[in-house]
Amino acid sequence: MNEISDEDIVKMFHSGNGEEKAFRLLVGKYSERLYWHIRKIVIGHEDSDDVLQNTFVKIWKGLREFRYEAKLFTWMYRVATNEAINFLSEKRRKTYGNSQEITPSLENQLESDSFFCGDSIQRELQKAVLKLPERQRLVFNMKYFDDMKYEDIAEVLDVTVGTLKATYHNAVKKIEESLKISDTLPSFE
Amino acid sequence: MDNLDEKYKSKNPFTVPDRYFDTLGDRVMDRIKDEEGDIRKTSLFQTLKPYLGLAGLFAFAMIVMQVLLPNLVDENRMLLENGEQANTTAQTEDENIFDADFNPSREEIIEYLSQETDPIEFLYAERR
Repeated sequence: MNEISDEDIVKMFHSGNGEEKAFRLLVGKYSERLYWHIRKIVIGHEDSDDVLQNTFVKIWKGLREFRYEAKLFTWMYRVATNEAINFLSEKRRKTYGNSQEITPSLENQLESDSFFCGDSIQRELQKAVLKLPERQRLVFNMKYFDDMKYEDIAEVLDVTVGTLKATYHNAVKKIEESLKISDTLPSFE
Repeated sequence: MDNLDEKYKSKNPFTVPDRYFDTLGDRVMDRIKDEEGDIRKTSLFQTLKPYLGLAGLFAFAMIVMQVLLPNLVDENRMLLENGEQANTTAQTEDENIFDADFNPSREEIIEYLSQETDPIEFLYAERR
């Protein structure tokens, strides 16, 4: 069965009598990709679920005004990214009063996460990614794990492709240093 | 040499509870309906808020008038009646200060005014 296109979903949503049906199609089509993107940023499942639901509520509200100034998918990715970043900022403010990094808290969450089934190297890789500055972390996740094109990432984060390539390169170097196994990580680039 | 790119990209180390994605659509729609319901309730209340405030104020004023106004009228009436009675009594008392046949002469008055004695005592002493 052919998957319904984004354009058709948006048309159905804007038609006035198919809002809910169109939105359910959108949730079905993109919830997993958005969830995994959010999950790699906020780490815990419960937090990811909260952020994902907030993301879809924002998408529902924003979709009424959506006029294809960006691709639907990259726009949704941007909403999800902003929600996840805002969630972490709020968590940091509540937990540490903005005075500390959130990374140790996320590392602890990763250690105790009952919904993490990776091996020790995968855990170390995730921890190394958590140590990256926020922007490098986002770029690395989208490029390495989500396999997104630079052009799409540029649209999500509103930066140039050249800047993204440099950011990704720096992120990879830091991860290699962090893991101290750079000779066994030949294919990040 | 291990191909870490394939090894770590292909396998997602995170998992979710069973049927998490199956029920997500319903939970999201419930949440949206809840939020939109709240917004509608809030906006109806916000629209009516100034009118409700005015109506409340008016009702309060009416109740205050119903309860206090009759009492005030009664009190005023009583004060008025008491006042008239008091005036009459005072007038009578004033008139009773002097005896009807007490009619001091001009000399008596001058003498009274030139002395520093209690006026009533003086006048009555003179008469005795």
